[in-house]
Amino acid sequence: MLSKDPQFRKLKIRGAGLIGSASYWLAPDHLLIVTIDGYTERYRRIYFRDIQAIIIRRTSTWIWLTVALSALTIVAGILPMSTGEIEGLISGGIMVAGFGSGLAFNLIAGPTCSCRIVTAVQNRDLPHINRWRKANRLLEALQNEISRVQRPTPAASPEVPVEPISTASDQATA
Amino acid sequence: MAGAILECPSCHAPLPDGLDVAPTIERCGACNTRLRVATFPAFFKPPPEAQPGQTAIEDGEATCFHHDQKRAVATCDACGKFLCQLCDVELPTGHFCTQCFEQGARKGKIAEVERSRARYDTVVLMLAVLGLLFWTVPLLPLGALIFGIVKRNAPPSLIHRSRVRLYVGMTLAVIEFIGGCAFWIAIWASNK
Repeated sequence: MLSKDPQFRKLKIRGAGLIGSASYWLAPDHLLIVTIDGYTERYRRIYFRDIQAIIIRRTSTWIWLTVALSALTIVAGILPMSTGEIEGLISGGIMVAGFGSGLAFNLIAGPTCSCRIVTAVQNRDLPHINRWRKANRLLEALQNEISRVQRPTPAASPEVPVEPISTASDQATA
Repeated sequence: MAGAILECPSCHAPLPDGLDVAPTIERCGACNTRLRVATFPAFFKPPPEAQPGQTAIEDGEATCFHHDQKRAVATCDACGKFLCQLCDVELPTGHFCTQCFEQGARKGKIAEVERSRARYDTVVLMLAVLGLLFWTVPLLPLGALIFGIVKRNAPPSLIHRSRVRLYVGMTLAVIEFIGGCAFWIAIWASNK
């Protein structure tokens, strides 16, 4: 169980989608990504020593979501008002509350993005890291660990042949 | 600078070298997508050269189990075979031959390479909850119960979950099964 394993530290970055979720765990030498989709848990380990780069890309989904949810909220608010019936007003109110809360969540969560980890052999998009702020938090958490593991080791000093120290008596005999 | 090239995830155009300074917020020169790129020392390292198995030099020297001309550099921690550099699969927990590695990975015995686990406890609980809807048909709880018994020793979830779901699901299934059976017995008795 990872939560009781002192070697693992759970990052406070959790992503969830329609049919799954992901959690991120820091081990001393790797990042463990646990993805849950339905009845299966999938594990992906990315070793810090292999990570070459992390690229966060801003996407336009946030803007489109804001536009769409705003339009739906407005339409859901205006249409029942035009009929003036109490049932329409109630259902319109429920829809406005639903779309409005979605809009508020989208605005609070901030811009959308995709986050990619680059290694020598693969480029992998991180699951459910789809908000700019969340991706930056993950990057900050990973940066220290990666830098610690990939810190260049101090080069060993080249071996210099040691010459025998000449003493005063040696010099006298010479 | 290494031979590796970073590319924009959006348009796959190579990113300029100026993005090496980590982490910077830049825009892709080709598609103008806003990016934040952080590069690490591994990016600048040249790729490691492949090391061929070393040839055995002296008589009596331990050789690889699979390659009798290669010098053994490790022993498999699972089966004890001598392994050359080519056959040695090195993990943080030890050395493995390719067969033991594959077998261990398939059976989930090597934690480092375990890729997935089924959450049988959730399946049992969901079957039992679904059985509540069709409580007059005791087949669904019976299935949940049998499934729970068969999979009771399967490794549980790797993250913070106990077997509570499994036991709750099985208890619920037992109650539903008894309830369903009692219902049909009552109907049979009333018709008699």
